[in-house]
Amino acid sequence: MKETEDEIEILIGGKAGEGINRAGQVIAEIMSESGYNVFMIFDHPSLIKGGHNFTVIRASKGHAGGIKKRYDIAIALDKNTINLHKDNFSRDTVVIFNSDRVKKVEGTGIPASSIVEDAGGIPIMINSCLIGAFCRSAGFEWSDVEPILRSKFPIKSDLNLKVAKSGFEHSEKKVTLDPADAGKEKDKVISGSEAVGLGLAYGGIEGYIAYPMSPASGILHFLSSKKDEFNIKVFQPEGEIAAILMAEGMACCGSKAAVGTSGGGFCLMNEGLSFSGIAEVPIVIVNAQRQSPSTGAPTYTAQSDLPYVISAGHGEFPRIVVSPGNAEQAFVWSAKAVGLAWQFQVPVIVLTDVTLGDSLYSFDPANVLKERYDYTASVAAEEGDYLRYRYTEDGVSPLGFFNGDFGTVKINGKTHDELGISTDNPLVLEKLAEKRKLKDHAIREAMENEDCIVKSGNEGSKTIVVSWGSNGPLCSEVCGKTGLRSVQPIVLHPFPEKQFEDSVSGYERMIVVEDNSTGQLADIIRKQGYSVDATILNYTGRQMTIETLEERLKEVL
Amino acid sequence: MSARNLITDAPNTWCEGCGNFAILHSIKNIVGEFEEEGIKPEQIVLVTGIGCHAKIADYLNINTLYSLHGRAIPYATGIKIANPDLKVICCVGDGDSYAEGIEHLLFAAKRNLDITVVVHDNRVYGLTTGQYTPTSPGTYHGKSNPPDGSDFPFNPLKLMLCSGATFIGRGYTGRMDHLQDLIKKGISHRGFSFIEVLQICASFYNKSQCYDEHVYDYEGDTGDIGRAFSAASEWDYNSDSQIPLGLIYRAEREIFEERFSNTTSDPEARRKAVLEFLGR
Ligand code: SF4
Repeated sequence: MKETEDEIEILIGGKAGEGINRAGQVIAEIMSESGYNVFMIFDHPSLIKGGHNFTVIRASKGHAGGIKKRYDIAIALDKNTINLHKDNFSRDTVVIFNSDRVKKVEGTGIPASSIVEDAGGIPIMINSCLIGAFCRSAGFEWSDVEPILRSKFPIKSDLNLKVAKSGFEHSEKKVTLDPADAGKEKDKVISGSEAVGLGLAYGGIEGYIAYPMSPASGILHFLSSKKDEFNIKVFQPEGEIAAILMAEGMACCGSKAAVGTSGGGFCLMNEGLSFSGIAEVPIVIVNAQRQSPSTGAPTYTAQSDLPYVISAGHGEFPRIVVSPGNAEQAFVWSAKAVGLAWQFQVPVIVLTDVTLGDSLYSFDPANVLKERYDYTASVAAEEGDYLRYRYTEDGVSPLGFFNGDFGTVKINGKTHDELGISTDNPLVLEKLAEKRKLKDHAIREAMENEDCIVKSGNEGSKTIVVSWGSNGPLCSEVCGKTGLRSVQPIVLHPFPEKQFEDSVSGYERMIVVEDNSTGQLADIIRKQGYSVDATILNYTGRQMTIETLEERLKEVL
Repeated sequence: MSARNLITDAPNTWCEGCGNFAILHSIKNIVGEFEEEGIKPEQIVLVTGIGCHAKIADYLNINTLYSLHGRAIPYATGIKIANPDLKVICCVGDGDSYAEGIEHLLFAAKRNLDITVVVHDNRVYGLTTGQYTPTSPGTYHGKSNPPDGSDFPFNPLKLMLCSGATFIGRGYTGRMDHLQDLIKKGISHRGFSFIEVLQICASFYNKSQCYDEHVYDYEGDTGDIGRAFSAASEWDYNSDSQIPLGLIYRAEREIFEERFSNTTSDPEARRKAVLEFLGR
């Protein structure tokens, strides 16, 4: 290792149920409080007890867009952690382990079980003991980390802190980290799921209705725990069909509502999606992608629902699909999704994935609060004869709700006239289809005023790496290092044609990076008339590491 | 009578003699009576599923949500979550809410959602031309099932008793005054009201004669769930027997939407709370 490090990669692993995720979170918080940008993945099979869980925390002074293969510090609660990950260790990897449980291993053995037992603690405090050991190995002074541990530990007791201090004293300094920027305002460390929940709340939702389904459940759990503070009605109904319809029922009363699910649940929601299309009921749907069709791999990642969410539902109707890539983007676009759904009275789909939902990110509130969120829904005057589906130039009818102020309000999922009464009249059917087309056109125009694409890396490079969703920050970091241009469209439908053209101007080579096996975004780009020279497709259920992406880029350059 | 015309200009396309007319006029009269009592029609929302029954949304000049097959109840749930003060009536069909939408019916009863569900039970799919439904008798032969009959029908009253409904009654479209009174009582009940309406389908399953011969006014103890089960079991929707009409069961229980009543909708307060969470 170098004299001082400006980035560090930490692994912590053990059995499911041993609190690996929370332990990782505490380490991520320590690194964030020390001025580092953090990104932490949580890898766990769909099991409650047993099986191998691990987190990898990347803390960097610069980008933390993905994780690396080589670990600087590895914390092993069990032997399996070492067996499964030893290929990712280098000679310099500092291995901290519970020497009461892990035998015949070189490194910093801490008798964590005995320390906890002697102190009269409970087994989960083994984590605290090893975190304490980590702190000294990473070069922290006890006086610096003590207040952080005190506030971030899940069990806030003197005993827990004592156990951590014991772990600290049993280890020795191995790494010297570059000191933090003085005066930098502290970032939050939040998961992508929390960022989506916060964004939805900031965007004004009054209701979040969802049936549990990984990896979207994090949003439900977060909003449920915050429902009183944020004043949000949170409810788990009998299934995904009910969830979306209840949320639409709320919208008919003027209450902004959102739902969240994963692919299989989204299938069930299609009926409600089409209803939103014809009845013009605003709705935000978060679809958190998981690997493979049907039940698939519930806790592993993919980006394979893109053409599906763009075309889901029957009949033709306008919609918006956005796919944020990290916590800050998730906050911004979840909030915007609410505004856009209500401005245009359409479904807006926020496409996330396991990587985004379950990972922790440094989150700087200043970066999200400077965005524009002032969307205005056109609400009808509270007098006169109200026509729910009044024909207008842009296809958007003034909204009226079931609250007594608008006279009779008729909302209809069948083909209907301006009042909302069913009709099959060919002239009205034609008019209604045209109304939806006008609205689609209005959406396309309005989206030109949004920053639909994130550009980074070397803007002068003629080689462009295009990615979407959680691969965006990864590609951005790698492009920054290798001198390529990175382009990440966040708005994927309607496709931001003009902005994309600008962002790829002068390109000679275009490489598309995706977590799927068919190149879903690449297909969309080709249909826009661009040549795609190579695709890097990953479908292991795990996001590529920085090294893997670098290697695969080399193969196609 | 109501100061406004509660019937829209939409041309009525129900068959002559259809039981839907009795339900339409009952609800229209109830809305008129409520208006005289000071409850404005705007405070009422009618949610329908899909089928012949659902056209009632086009014909009544009140707030309506013409929803999806079997799905009136989840929409109604959302409406009550958003605004617990609205009076919500769900007009649903037997094919609609006993088949594709059965889960929602059971869960709304379980939750004691304060809505009134009026089931237009003509025991046949009318709009899709006569297929069998969950309450068609075992001998029923429609276009979709062979002449040797359909499945054994289930008994919706018993299902509702098991599921936790707090108001359960049965009406008949051949007895409109009785029906109107029952629906009004159901709407006035605080909790989940279930009203099974034996409705004749003039075109595909006209059971007028059978119903006229067998219905009678039930007068048992409506607070006794054991008595209610016996009453609900008197007729099994399959064989000939006496058919009790009227209120079968009534109870008081906490309603679902109360759990959401402490929330307000101030967007600024919500933004402030998010900023506080973010330490800003
Ligand atoms: S088919 Fe039957 S239920 Fe439908 S309108 Fe005609 S009579 Fe009424």
